[in-house]
Amino acid sequence: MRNVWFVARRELGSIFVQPIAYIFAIMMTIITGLIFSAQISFPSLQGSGPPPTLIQILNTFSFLAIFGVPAITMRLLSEEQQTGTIELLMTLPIRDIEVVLGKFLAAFLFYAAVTALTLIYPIVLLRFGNPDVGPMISGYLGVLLWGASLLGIGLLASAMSENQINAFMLAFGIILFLYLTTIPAQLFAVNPPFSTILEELSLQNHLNGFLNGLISAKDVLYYLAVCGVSLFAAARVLESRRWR
Amino acid sequence: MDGMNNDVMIAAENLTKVYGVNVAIDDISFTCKRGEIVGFLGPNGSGKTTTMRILTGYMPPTAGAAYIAGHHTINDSIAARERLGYLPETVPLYPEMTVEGYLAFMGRVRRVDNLWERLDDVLEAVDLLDRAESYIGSLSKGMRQRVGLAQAMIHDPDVLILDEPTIGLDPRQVVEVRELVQELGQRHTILLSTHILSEVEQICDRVIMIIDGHIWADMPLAQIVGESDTRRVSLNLINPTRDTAQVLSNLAGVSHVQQEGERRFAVAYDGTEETRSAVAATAVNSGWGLLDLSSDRPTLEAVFLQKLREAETMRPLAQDGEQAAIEEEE
Repeated sequence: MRNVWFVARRELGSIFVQPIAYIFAIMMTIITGLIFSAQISFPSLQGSGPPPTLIQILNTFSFLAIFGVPAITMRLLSEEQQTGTIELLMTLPIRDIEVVLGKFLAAFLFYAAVTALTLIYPIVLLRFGNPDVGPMISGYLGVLLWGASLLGIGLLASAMSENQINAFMLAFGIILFLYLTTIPAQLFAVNPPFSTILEELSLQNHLNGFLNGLISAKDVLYYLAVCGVSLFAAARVLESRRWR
Repeated sequence: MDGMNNDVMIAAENLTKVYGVNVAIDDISFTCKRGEIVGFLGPNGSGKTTTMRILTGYMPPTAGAAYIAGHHTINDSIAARERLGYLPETVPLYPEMTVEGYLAFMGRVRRVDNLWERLDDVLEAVDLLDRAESYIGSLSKGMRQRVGLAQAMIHDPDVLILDEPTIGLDPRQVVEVRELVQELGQRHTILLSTHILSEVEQICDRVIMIIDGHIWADMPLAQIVGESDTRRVSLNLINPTRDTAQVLSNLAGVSHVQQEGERRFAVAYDGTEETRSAVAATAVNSGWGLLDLSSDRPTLEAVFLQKLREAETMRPLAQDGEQAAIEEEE
């Protein structure tokens, strides 16, 4: 498993020299920053209002990740396939799954680093107010799990395509589909088992608990399963390249 | 199984690779021993790269098996890959990394001991010590090729598979890389493909020629270019007489004389120095005005082109045969 770390370390170096990484980080901080300043200034201007929480910030963060994560993951495996470096990677004494896990780890560490940039908001809240710490912790856990599952999907899309744009659109499409299964779920409301399946498939529905301070095994397992299945499939897709 | 033999470092057993309906290589078998430098020749699209990719474990063969140092390239893939250094046709580099960073990554994955010392040695061997901190993207094609070579040899592998290692290098670098390969070949087994036949003549012990996915020749270099049955000298004369060919062919040891131009004669002889000097003496003493006398050894190029012609003449025959078979069925 040391190979996973070697691959991740190399990949992190590559991620941080790509402008897309900084665009993503800046976009995330600017937009969440705007929301945060609005949240803390409106109540004081109006003289009353609910105390600011992290729910809206983390909600926005996770929504923006739907666009941001495919942009981060699109090149992870596509680029290697396009430039031919995959030939080297696949003839090194590294297993295909180690390549995939290494890439995932690098992308996840980057995502976690960007998430960490938003820690400034709870720090401000803790310094000047008396917020409930529990939902903050569960909220961040939810955002990290959310990111892991999106990154997994993105990596799978990247494994499936030599072209980065295709990888982006494919990842974006899959994520959006999983995000929006609540809409057909409502259409099928008269057909309970089917609508329940669609409700439970939804990426969106499983995040709400975390944001409100509830960590349930079902939600944790959902995200871990989406991530795990995607990574496993990505390794298989990579392996199938050999047989073409 | 060949793989059991300690000396056989590369073993290809009946390798066949089919892409869709295209047969890229068809039933290829050969072995390379420890310390052998084997040149892999063939026109573009003949199956060289496919064979190399199968040997490196990058792709499995449709049929047959390959072994690196006794390890099956698919079933025991990681062990086979550990013993292998590979320079693919398109040099696999990350332009955003520095030379040092890239080689360090390769070295770590390869579990190289004393990584930084080894890195210096390898950089020195490929003459890139002064570019260690440069970004790969900023290097010239020749330098990138040498970085590719450096990554292939960083772990001092038993087997090196090099797909056109000197492509894109300037003449001085070609010489340096050639010397490097020769030096490596003393301890390692090297299989290298190239289009530069003179290169093969200078560094390879053995030549495998592959045309249209079939092996057309697999023999020691000495056998191809050296002890061939066509021992000939060419004579260039100012004023040969009408009986020149007759006189020469009457000499002891001369088997055949052919006039190849107004002043040029090809003399086939037994290969001894005595016969050759007798030919020279006769030419001088007869007043033919000997300008030069040179020995013709068939070059690898000549052999290669001849094999290619053989392959081409075989092809229409095969097609005719198929055509005839179809007509018969009708």
